[in-house]
Amino acid sequence: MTSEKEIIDQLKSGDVKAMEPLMTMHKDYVYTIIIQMVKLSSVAQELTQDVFVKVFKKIDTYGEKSKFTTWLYTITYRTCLNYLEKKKIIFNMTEIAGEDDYTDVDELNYKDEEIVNPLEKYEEVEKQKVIWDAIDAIPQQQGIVIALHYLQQFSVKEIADLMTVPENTIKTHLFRGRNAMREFLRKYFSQEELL
Amino acid sequence: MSDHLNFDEIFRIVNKSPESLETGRYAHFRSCTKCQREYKAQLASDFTLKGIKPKTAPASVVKQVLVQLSGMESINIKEKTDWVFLIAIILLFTIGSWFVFSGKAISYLQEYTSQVVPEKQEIKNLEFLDSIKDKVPDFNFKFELPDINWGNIYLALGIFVGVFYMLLDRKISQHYKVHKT
Repeated sequence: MTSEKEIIDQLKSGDVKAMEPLMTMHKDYVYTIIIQMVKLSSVAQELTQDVFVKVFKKIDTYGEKSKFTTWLYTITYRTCLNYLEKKKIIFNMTEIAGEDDYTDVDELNYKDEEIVNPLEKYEEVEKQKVIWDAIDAIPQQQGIVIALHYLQQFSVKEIADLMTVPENTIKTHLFRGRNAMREFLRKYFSQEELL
Repeated sequence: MSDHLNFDEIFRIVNKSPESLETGRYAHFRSCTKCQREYKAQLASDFTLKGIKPKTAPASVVKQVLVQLSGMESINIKEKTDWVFLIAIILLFTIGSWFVFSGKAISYLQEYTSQVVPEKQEIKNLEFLDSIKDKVPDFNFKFELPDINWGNIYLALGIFVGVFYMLLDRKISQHYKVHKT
């Protein structure tokens, strides 16, 4: 299997085909972060495409001193911010939570090869759905920070650099987000399951 | 001020362990049910969240991106051509500069211009100007061509061409992927 570095080298030499394995690696993560920010799956899909087109156009500017994921998520975050800035007059994120805006079960069809038992797989899908419902229910900034921290294993400093905010702000979002999630999950899980 | 662990300390013990606290703070943690409850709540959420997986992006995303990018590829501007063009401009500019600043060129130009054009041109004997002259006697109507340093003009043009080329190149690069050959 081609490594990420080899893929990046291929992209730098203008090989479009190298985008396919790169997107296979990152598209779900990028999409998840975007949907956390914009909440609409149709918009998230478009912005995910935009992000990868930008990656291809700007790959020459990627210096290999930093992690590729940090660079990728900086592009992702800024693309979302630009979108939200453009739409802020007619786009109020707190009022759009309709049926179409939440991820449906199809999107939670995880490719977890370790789970072969259909019941276990179903339970895992349900569990993931509940967790994502909880993340969707907490304030948006907290949800984004949680997604970056737990999906990408970004440190507090990395997230702070990416979002250009102080580290303490990120810590506060994580802290409050985890508390808010806990309150939400109480409805679904027993005390034992939560501990 | 409360003795309870602040969020920074709880944050740290969730990532490490309660033993990572300073001795006094750890003693407080051991005896304080509120801090322990807060810690357990954070730890439980942390544990739950460690198992999250990303949502699945629609499969069409990959296809759409590849379609967009293959359109870009078909333009296929060669970087080599780009460099040849830049070198050609620099070479032309260098030869031109040498020609202008070398003594031979200047003496040739001086000789040529002295044959064709008098040293300074004046526009004279225009009747309508004379009539205006009479009306405004204090105004100087003598038109003279300014002394032009052609070397500086050539240099300025060269710089202008260079800057223009860079701007154009940058603009083109924004739209089309330049392929290395």
